[in-house]
Amino acid sequence: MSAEEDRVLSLLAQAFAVPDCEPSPDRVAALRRQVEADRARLATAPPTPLTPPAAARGGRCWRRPLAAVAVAAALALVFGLGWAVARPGGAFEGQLEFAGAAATEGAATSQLDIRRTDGERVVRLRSDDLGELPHGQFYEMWFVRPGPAPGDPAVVSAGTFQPGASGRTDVRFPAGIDPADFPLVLVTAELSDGDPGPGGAEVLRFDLLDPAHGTVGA
Amino acid sequence: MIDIDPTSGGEPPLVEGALQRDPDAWEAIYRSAYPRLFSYARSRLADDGEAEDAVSETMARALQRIDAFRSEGVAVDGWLFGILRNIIFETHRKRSRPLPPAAAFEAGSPDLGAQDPLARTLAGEQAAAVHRAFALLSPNDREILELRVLGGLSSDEVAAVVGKRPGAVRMAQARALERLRDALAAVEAGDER
Repeated sequence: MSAEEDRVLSLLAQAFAVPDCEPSPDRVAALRRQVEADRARLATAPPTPLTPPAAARGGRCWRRPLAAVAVAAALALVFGLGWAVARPGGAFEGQLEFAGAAATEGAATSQLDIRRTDGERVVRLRSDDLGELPHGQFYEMWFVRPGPAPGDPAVVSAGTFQPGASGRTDVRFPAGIDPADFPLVLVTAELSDGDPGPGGAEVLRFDLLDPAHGTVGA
Repeated sequence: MIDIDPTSGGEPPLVEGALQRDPDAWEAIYRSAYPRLFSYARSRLADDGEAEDAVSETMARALQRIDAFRSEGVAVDGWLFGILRNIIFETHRKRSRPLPPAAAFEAGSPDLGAQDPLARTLAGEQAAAVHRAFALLSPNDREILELRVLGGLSSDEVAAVVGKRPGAVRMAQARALERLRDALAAVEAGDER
């Protein structure tokens, strides 16, 4: 940086001094309560967001489901149901509410389903195809409600995860939304850039299907 | 600025505490970053209340995402500013209102405490001129300088916050400072437009 740039930056810093202030006691107390609540939650559940951000995201160009993989979607539904049935001793029990039908080729070999167990709705994703991400990246699952315009959906994060050491993904998150309102589930590879919305590459996409009534939503 | 950069070797105590959901660690991070987060938010939002809310929301979202921060490779400060910046965008988007003109830095004021009255007057006049010159800059120029000065972020950290390459940010900063210098000269010459 040149001496002139230094001088102007210094003038700016003098003119715009950062005030000596601190957060109010009630806001500090509120944060401490949030931290305590999150710690208590972690003691009884796998790491998931405390309250998923429900921010409406505009301006993003979500890819529409590919018509070419519609057949794969149907197969994935059947395969997904079969998987659940084939593992009667599995820990993921409860009433099957929605099954994820693969809407992208990569999702066709992955399984996603939503069950209600002990009064709580839980989404589970299993896949052997999610590779290890570069340092500083992670996978994130999203519930998506198509918006009034194609590029303006509402998005709620279900949670973030990394594949297991064996390369296998088997994750579960509380599904704090009504899948009938959020008929799409996406998995993206996110950068740890502080952006709380989905900004990374989409790697999996599922349409949620109600086994009893067919496709929900759009 | 708090020294809790996880890239500087080992897992710094505050980050480790934050990962363990230690309320004391979170409070320390909150208190340490608050003046700069608040100043930045105040410069881009309508009033103190909105700025306080934005900073509180920043900490709440940071708590939600702290597990993802572990492998992030950026300093906590830059990470928090990235979150805050998005919250500010969301706030403006909800209101469908553009960023305010640089009423910027109203929360800040020149540090004149230790100066004599004449020096204080001169410094005050100079600060006022800098404020007027700053208001003449484009929103992009103002943002980069705000993050540098109010946020206390390095060029690399600003780059991470705004999603640009460090070299591009350094170039943008140099141009912004050049335009500020020209604007300041115009203000001092009474030739503001």
